[in-house]
Amino acid sequence: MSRQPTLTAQGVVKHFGGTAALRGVDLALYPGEVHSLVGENGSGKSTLLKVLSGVYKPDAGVVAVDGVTHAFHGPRDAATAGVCLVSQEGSLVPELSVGENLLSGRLPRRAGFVQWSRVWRLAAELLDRADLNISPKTRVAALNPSQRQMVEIARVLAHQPRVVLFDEPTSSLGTREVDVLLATIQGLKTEGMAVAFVSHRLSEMFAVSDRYTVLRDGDISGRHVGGDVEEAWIVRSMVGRELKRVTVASREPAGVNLLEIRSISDASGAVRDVSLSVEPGEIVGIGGLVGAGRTELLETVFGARHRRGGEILVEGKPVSHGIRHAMASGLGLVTEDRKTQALLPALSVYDNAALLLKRRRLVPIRRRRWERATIEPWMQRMDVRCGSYSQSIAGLSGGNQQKVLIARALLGAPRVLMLDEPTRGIDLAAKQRIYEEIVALAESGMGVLMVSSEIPELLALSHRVLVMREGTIVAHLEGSPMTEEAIVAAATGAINNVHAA
Amino acid sequence: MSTPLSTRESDSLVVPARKPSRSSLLSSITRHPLAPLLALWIAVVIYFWITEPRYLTGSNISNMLQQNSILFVVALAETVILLMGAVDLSIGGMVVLIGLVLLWINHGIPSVLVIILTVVAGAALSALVNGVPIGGWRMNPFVVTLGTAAVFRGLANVFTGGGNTKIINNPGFVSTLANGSVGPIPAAVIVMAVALLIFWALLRFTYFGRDVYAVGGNPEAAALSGISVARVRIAGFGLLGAAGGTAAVLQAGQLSSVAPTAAVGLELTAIAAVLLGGTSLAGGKGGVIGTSVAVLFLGSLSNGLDLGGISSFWQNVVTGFILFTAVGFDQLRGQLLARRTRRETT
Repeated sequence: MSRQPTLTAQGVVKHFGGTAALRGVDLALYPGEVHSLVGENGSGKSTLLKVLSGVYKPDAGVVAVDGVTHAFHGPRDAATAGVCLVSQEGSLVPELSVGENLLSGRLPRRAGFVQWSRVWRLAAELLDRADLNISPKTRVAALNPSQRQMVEIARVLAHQPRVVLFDEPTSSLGTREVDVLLATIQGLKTEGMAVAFVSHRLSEMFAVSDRYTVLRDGDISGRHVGGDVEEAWIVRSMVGRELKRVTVASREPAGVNLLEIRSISDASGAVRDVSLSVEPGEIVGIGGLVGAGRTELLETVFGARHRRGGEILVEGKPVSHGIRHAMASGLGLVTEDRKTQALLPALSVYDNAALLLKRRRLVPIRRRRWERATIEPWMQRMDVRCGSYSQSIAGLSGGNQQKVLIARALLGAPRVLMLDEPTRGIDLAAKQRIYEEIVALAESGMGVLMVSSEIPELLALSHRVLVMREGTIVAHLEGSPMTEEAIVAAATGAINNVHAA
Repeated sequence: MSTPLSTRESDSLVVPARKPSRSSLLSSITRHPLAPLLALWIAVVIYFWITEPRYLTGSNISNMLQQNSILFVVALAETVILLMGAVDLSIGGMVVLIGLVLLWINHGIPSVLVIILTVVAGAALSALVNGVPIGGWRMNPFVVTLGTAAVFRGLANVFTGGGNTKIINNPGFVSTLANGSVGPIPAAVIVMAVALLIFWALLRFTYFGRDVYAVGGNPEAAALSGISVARVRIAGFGLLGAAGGTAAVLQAGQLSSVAPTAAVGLELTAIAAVLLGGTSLAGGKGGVIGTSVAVLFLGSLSNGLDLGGISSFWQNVVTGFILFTAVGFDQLRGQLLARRTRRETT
């Protein structure tokens, strides 16, 4: 390479608590090139971009722009050095105008008063340069997602950056909007900017990239220069690791359905025409990328989300809409987000576990002795470790909290247990225990529907794996075709509609 | 952070009950969330006991309790409201409006029935106009009760022909309940004790009580556990109305009249007592015992200041200052205790 890279990173290490998100990553971004970062969820792509743009401080390693090393104290610092991030979440203030957002933090002032005429003129220039036909006085809330994304980019360009980092910019966009965005990225490239691009959709990367770096578990597992990259190579590099299989015992189809879902959709369009079934004793895994509609599917089945059309049957009986009906029909759900959707942080371990207990009696009085006697076997079975049941649940480790929450769901006596990312953010020992228990529950005749982003987990525990993308099931994998490669390919859309027996 | 892989012997779920040693007993007392408030209350009582000879006499104590009976009952219900993550500003106006209901129905029917009907009317009114919008339509409790507070008091003024005090002609048992006594114990104190017992048992021993804590602590988790958040909130505001009805009975008995200008600011004093008693403004944490102690503490303080001839304006300043410092101190103490606990467990 004759050209010098605009941005280099060397030996970047970043830890969150005890887990390593980046384990010494090198990266170079060249002017006039788009560099795609590829990897599974949690491989460290987003963390790397956040380190480069000053959002996170690396624990070790150096970032240099044009050969000058920088230690960024926040994104503003990075922007001054010419490195800007277009983030996944969006950082515009919806209640303010486009112009105010574009110039936020540096509105032109005279004697302490904002010079509005100059604000609108400068903003209009910026919008012009980004080829955006929007009035600077429009409120951001009135824009559609694509326009917001473009405003976000225009704001970044206002800093006249040398390096632009895109973190999953297309996740909230439709196909036509994606094309517009990709054209914009091409434009930046021809202007000589160095661009880094993260996307879960391989086709988008192939359209714009000159260089690829594959990340796996915080390490770089593959590099490729040039547009002639092979899909198979990317998938192999993403997956790569040796899998230790704690496989669930194979089973013969029973021919009876415990749970049957017939073409349900949700009101918001996150779930579209999904049909599936779970037999007694069967564990059905649901794979896919974040945002593919998996959580929304479980919530719709559980009645926590408005269902539009279709039918849900438990043991052949239709389930009416609503959480209480779903629970009464024998459905149980352990939610994805412990903190916001499940824990009662001010209450004890006991009260958290006993939340679903209700004895149908004339007088609605809690009987602690009965409650305790009912809870105890499940808590023991889940191997919950705590000083006493009366201690606050907030003091437990994530793994033990999760065990309590699974015990809570089981105390509702479900016939079908739905688990959403059952082992997210918990230690290995607890993970193992939960795996064993899921298998044991299925063996006792329960039906299990499990969403997971950890593919080894899906492969180890599931009898069948369904892969979701954009709200629908795109692949149904069972037996030998049920591989990590197949799941990744279906989830990213590398291969459309994989059907295997 | 990570515990060694399953060593079955060490899996004891519950630490066997040790006989509490003296130091751990002491530490469990000092660590109790109500310890600072109790200590402060005792200090106040001792101070006035020394400085005011009339302070710890039977007549003064029952006087003090009677004076605070309305606040006491109302604050118990306000505790439930805060526990379920809501807030109420309407109770003052409600007490006055329900007082008028009592006045209207108090003609030719037994006063026991009058009292029951008043309490039921309060419950129905609050469940309907506060509970349904907040629980059913998910409106903001601050906004709803700010509105209903104005409507209640406004209506009370309208119905009394512009704020005239209405004399109760036939006080009967209503008066006995507020001013009479059973042996040496004032009837109002019995009302307070019964109310406390009901609220305490409700929160501790019923599924409704558990649901109140769940809804206040994490409404989404509560809903996903099959709890009807709307129903819990409507019932909570119904309870508030029942307490408002009881307070209206006590007030009517004490004054032998109904005045639309009475109970001004009652809601804020009640909220202050609830917070002082350790219930979280964010919901899901606290209880009625703390509220009771806080009301009695505030009552003992203002009673002592009264005896000492301190003006009620200064009393307001003192009460406000205490609320501010107590809540601030509580926050600091919570942080310190959490830090210490963390150090002990790691």
